[in-house]
Amino acid sequence: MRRLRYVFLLLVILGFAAGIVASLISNQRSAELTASRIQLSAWSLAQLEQEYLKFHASLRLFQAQVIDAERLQLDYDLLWNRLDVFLTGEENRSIRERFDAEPLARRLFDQLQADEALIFAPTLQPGAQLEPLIAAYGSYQQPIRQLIVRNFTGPEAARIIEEVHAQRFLTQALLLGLLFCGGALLLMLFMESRRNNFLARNDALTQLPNRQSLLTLQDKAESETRYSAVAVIEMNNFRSVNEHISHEAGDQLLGRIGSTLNQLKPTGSFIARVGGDEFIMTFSERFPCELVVETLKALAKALSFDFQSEKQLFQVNARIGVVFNSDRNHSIEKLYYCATLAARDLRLSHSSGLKVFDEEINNRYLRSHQLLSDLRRAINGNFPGLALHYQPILGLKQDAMGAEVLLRWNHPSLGNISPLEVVELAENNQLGLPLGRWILQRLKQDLHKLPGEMRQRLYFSINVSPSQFTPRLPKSLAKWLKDAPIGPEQLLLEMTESISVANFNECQNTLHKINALGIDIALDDFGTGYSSLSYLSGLRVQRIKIDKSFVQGISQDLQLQRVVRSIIELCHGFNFSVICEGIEDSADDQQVRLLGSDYAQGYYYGKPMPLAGLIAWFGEHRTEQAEWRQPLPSNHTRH
Amino acid sequence: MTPLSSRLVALLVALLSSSSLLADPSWQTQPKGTLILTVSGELQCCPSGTAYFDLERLDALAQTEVKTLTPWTDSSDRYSGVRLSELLHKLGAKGKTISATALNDYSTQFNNAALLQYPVILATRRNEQPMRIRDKGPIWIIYPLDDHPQLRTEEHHHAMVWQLKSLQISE
Repeated sequence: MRRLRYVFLLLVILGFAAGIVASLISNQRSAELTASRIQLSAWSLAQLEQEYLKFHASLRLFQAQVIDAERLQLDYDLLWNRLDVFLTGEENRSIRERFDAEPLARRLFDQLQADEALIFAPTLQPGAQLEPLIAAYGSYQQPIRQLIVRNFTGPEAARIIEEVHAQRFLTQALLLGLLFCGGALLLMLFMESRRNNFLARNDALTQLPNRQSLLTLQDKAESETRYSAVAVIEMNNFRSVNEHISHEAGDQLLGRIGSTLNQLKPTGSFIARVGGDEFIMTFSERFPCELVVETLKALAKALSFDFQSEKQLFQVNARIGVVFNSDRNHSIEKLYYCATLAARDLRLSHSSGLKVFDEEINNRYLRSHQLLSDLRRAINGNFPGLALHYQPILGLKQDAMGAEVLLRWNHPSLGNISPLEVVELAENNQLGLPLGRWILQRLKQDLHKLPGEMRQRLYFSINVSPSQFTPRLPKSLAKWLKDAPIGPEQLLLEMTESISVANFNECQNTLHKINALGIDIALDDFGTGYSSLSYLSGLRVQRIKIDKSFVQGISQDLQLQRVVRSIIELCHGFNFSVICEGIEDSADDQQVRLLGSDYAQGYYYGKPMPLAGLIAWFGEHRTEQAEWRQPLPSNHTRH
Repeated sequence: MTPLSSRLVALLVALLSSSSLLADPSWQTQPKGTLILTVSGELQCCPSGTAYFDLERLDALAQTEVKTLTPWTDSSDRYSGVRLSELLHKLGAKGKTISATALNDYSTQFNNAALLQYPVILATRRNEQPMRIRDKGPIWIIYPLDDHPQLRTEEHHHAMVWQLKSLQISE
């Protein structure tokens, strides 16, 4: 369609250009025909005839002795010159070439030149010898007259006149053609501008209005329209399709979503695509709440489908946030904002379906909004409460003591914020990296406060977030180690499976570089993800941390014992050492020792505690560790 | 006429009024040779209002050569003669319009703008030979068409009078 438009435009422009050129040529031709014929011919022929008649008359007057020889000779010269002009040069070319003018003039000129001796003879006298001459020149009168007549009348002259008319007609036709082409150009411009206008307000892929239209609607809505509800529809997995298959597939998917929305659009509703995978839908004033909910449920169902590309199958579904405008006095701007929050709530809880906006969502949003802003300031050192706590990790088979570094945030007004929430907030708002840096920095400060013995004996385990886990991580760790009071063998990084699954090869490379620094790596929360055996065998980690869901209450649960034993054996088979976390009492402690775990962590040994607590704990337990540790037959030593 | 050329004329006139040395008062008398050009008008040199020239008198003035092809000739020839603006200067002629008349009484009028700007000459020789009447002599007003193609217009073609016999200068 677009190509066709360009071809048409090209044709019109070519037509226009050809019309202009042809008109110019035709006009030039008309001008030449008219000018050469009318003006020059008339003048030139009139002069020729006049000079000829004058000379002929002079001859007869000389014969009658009315004029003298000198006068006759002047007229002779004038005729000579006239014939020379007629027969020479560019100006008279077209005239002498028509109607046998040249032979006639040439004949007269020859005659004139032949008579030169006679006319200029010093003895020239009137007499009988001039009579043949007068007769001879008299014979030219008729042909010269005839030449003039034929130039201005007669069939050939008429043909030229007709040609002039034909040229004029052609010029007119060409000009009309130009007018038509100009009109077509204008029409195309008009249509193009209308199309552009449409494109500015509508999305090309989904044929739905775009954000611009929403803004226009916002301006208009204040005075005119009222809405009963506004919904925001966000698509799950659209981004994955775009990134993992192709943008064409993403476009195709959008097209399908667009047509579904168009089909299911209730009367009086306005739908627009306001973002990459975000749509807005309004419901008119007369739409009751129940109907809105039913409609959106149907829509959520219709928008939940499998999208099959050549390579992969994606499950696409929609998150729909809706807000009811019960008292009919909220602006569309405000309604859109609330619906977005409801959809956001679904996104944060990783679910799909329909969510109705309520105060709780608003409060949650406001809370996270406040937390985010405070966290940003806290990372920069301008807000209190952010601290590190340490939970002991015990070596069960050897004399090794460590501590997991845990983030704590005691917010001045909101109280203790769960570390999970803090990390998620940071990760979702591009604060993961600064937060990671803050933790390392604070750890270093804390380490300097430790007594020398502790600093030498303890190792520290740090959690690494996905956004921190970049190819630049090894370099920043190396830099950190340079002025840290502990060696690389006293540092352990804990990462979750999700980090390495996303990009296994790149991850392996990074892990390798971290190992090369002398730092060990532990796989956290083992058992809760999707680790396969092939994945495990290829992964460059040294420890596996079995999730506490497998450990809590293990002393009472035979099945858990069997599972954990298998995991430990498996890990040892891969040459990983194992940490069991969540040990709460001595029975659990005994059990994991029996099962062969290399390390243990839990409330039984020590809760997460501030630095001062850790120092006290160490003082208390440094000698007791031997009591906890009981010799067990083991074929595994710490990596 | 452009403001520049009218200023030039004013300057010319002012110069001439202050000095009559430029003009030769003998031009008022009949020449010794054949009279070939009569110039009339308000002339500083000649209170009688008429100056007469034979070939000798014209030759005595500075000569300018112009090489050009004309619409009435087939070859590019060398024409020489006094520059028309130079002659008007010498005559102390007052006026911007020139009326030229030929032996066959063809007459045309033109203004002096082009004459002042370009070397328009009263050609008395073609390829160093005096021109006979039959060869558009004895005087042919020649415009330098080759050197200044912008002069190739009907207006200037009409002013290229051959067999010139008289010039009338007027306001």
